[in-house]
Amino acid sequence: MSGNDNNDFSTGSGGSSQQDCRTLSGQGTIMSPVPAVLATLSVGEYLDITLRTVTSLQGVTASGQVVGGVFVNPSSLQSAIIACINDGNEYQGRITSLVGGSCELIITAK
Amino acid sequence: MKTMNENSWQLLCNAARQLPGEDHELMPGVKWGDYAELYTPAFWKIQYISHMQRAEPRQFYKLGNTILEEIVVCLLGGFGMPSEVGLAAFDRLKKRNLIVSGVSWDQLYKAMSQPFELSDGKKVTYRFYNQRTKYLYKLLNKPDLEAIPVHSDLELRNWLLTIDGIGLKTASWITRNWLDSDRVAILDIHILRAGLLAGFYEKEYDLNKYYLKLEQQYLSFCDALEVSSGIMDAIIWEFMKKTNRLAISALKHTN
Repeated sequence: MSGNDNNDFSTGSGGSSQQDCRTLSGQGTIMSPVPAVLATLSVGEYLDITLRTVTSLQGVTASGQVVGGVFVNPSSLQSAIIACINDGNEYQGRITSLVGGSCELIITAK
Repeated sequence: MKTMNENSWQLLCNAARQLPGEDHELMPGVKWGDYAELYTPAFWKIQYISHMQRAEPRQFYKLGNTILEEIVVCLLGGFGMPSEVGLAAFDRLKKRNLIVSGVSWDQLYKAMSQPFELSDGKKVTYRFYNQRTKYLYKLLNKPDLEAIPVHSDLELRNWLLTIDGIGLKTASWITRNWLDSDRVAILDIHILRAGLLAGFYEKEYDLNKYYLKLEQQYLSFCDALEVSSGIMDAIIWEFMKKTNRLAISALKHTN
């Protein structure tokens, strides 16, 4: 009807399939990280990507410190990851850059 | 898997950084929210910016060559009708030159009641062809077909509402597609849910009863975001449809 086609990471109506969940990956950024936690991070390190709310994600260090909310684009990737986490899958973000106070990640399934 | 190119991604991150803080008010009673949280106003603004980064972002297609054809094709589709069947019926009416003022009932009825062969060779009967033929017949025999007000979006929509079988949603759809209008909105359950999650709707109003009020609120939201309401409508609709289950779950958490 009124829709346009988008970059498609869709998992249908917001559900997920195990195959999709294992292969999901993409770029994310933590743009307002907690400065004290950011100072402890280094490129190549992995963060856990967990639910911050029912509709958003966060990066968490191995010691359980929250780095900040993760901005993911396209948004269909974010919704797919959330659906997969809700179905019991786990994700991680490898830090690729720590420049200008933001933390760039590549997100993949664990 | 598709990924954004680095430049687009950086532009988007910069745009996100420049948005007002999440507690800032976008419009009375509605805060911007966090752009990294699905369904917030800030999230929709970022979706819009991302959409506009494309080479050809806006895609509203006219299905007909004339306004009359556009109305007919919209009358033939919708209401759960598979688009392939609606388009097959439209194609037949066009080929038989029946989308004209003063068409006869018999010709129209015959064209609509005969089975349609789809591209896969399957033969199907148009559901409710009797009722839909009545709508078409009434439309094509309206005395003011020569004076359809295509110069004004709101006048066109009002005129469309005088046609049996066309309600506000379909009238708005035709108007937006034909005139590329940003003064009307195509509201449905997906936009309604998005409004509840973003905060520009306070409760689940009955769309049929409160369409114009809800439309005004939606248009105010788009004004505040400084986005085209038509493009935003398409972006919201597509995303809400794709994430239906998640959106319903999020709504439960907001209640």
